[in-house]
Amino acid sequence: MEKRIRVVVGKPGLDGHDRGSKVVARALRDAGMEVIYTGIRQTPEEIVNTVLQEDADILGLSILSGAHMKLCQKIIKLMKEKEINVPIFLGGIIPADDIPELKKMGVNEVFGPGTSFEDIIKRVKEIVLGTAV
Amino acid sequence: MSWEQQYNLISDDFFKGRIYALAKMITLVENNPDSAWKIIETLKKNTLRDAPTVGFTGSPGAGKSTLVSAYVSMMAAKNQKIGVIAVDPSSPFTMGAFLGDRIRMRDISESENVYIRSVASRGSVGGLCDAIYDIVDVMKAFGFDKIIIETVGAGQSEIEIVYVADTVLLVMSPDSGDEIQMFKAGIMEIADGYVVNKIDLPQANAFSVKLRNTLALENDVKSKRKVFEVSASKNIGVEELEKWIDEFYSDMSSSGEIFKRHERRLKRRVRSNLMRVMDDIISSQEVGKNSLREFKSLIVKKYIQEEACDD
Ligand SMILES: Nc1nc2c(ncn2[C@@H]2O[C@H](COP(=O)(O)OP(=O)(O)O)[C@@H](O)[C@H]2O)c(=O)[nH]1
Ligand SMILES: [Mg+2]
Repeated sequence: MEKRIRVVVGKPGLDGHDRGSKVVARALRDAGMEVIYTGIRQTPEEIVNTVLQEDADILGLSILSGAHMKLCQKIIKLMKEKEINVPIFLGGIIPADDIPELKKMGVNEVFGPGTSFEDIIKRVKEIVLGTAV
Repeated sequence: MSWEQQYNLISDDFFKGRIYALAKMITLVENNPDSAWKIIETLKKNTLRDAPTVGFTGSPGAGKSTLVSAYVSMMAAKNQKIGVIAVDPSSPFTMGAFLGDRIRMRDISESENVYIRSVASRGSVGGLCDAIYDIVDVMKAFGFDKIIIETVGAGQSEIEIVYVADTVLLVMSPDSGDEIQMFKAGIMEIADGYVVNKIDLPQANAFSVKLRNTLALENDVKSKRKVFEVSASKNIGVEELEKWIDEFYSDMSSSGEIFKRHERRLKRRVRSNLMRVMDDIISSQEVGKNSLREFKSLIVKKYIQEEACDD
């Protein structure tokens, strides 16, 4: 049986806008992935727990609140504590200046607001299937 | 990596109760339908109890996820370990799926006593997925006290749950067009109990009365079935439901009904398994110049060959 990519799409932090993350979740679904959607205002603990229980292949985060540094740090720390080794991509409103720091922290990919679904889907597949360079 | 290798990597941690190993074991049976029974057989040797399995079915929006959450949080508070399987549909075209039941299960998603797994139907039409029997067995082997299943909720033909679960509850709500369904056959026939959810809504009582009146006119079995009035989101009536589910299970155990249900499940499971293998063989064979009869014996022969390789 062909492997289905399982993606957890999480929305940590206090902002309540989930239009963007829902649209991305749908695009990933339409690309044949199984998307576990958890709703808004998730705590880092909830998100990490979901990744663990769902045996996700990749975690997608959408953060618009500006708190991406702190939230990513917290999530990555929790994942390390629980020995979860799952790649992360990030979308939302992320200043370009922050990207190098985020990648150093362990975020595999950051998608800016203008990124096409095609690009997101392609990168997610690359990262999960291990064809990424 | 072969399934044996993957199994060996996680089996120790699985029996130590590590959640990551449970999650990976479920993925393993889900992705290897042909070898799953070998995995299950190994796990079964170490399964300590046959945990009761409760199924919740009903139309989308009726409140299944919310009710499962309220019900499970009650048991988790009593330190019972609960495994939840929430099934949502896969697209028949892309095979992708949007699994959103966790949104309504946030009250239990952080509990130490609860494990939730979202599952895509992957082309199965009975309201569950082909791997459901295997996933339930994996959870039983892990040692949960009870296993809860939420079906896709797409309609009348979703009767697979009756084979998979020991007890089936049909969740209805006055605001989701369930009134028409009330008079239809199918899903109404198979439930052990009916839950009228959203009893907090103004039109709920009228709905409930109508349901009770309809059932009263039915045959003995159906008219004796319980109707529960609950509000999953306001936590009304859930405790009574919880109590009844346990009582119903022990009644089934003492009357022997549970064994009938186990046998029914086993037959169905074997059937599903055979059908899947048969389907694969049939679609991969060329008819060529074979007559109908020749083609049929060719398929049967292939099937027997395949079974022989498998043993
Ligand atoms: N008023 C009211 N709304 C409810 C109740 N239970 C669930 N809901 C709402 O019904 C909608 C669908 O619930 P959900 O659990 O996702 O239904 P499912 O599709 O059957 O799993 C959600 O908006 C819930 O908040 C209830 O007892 N009363
Ligand atoms: Mg649901």
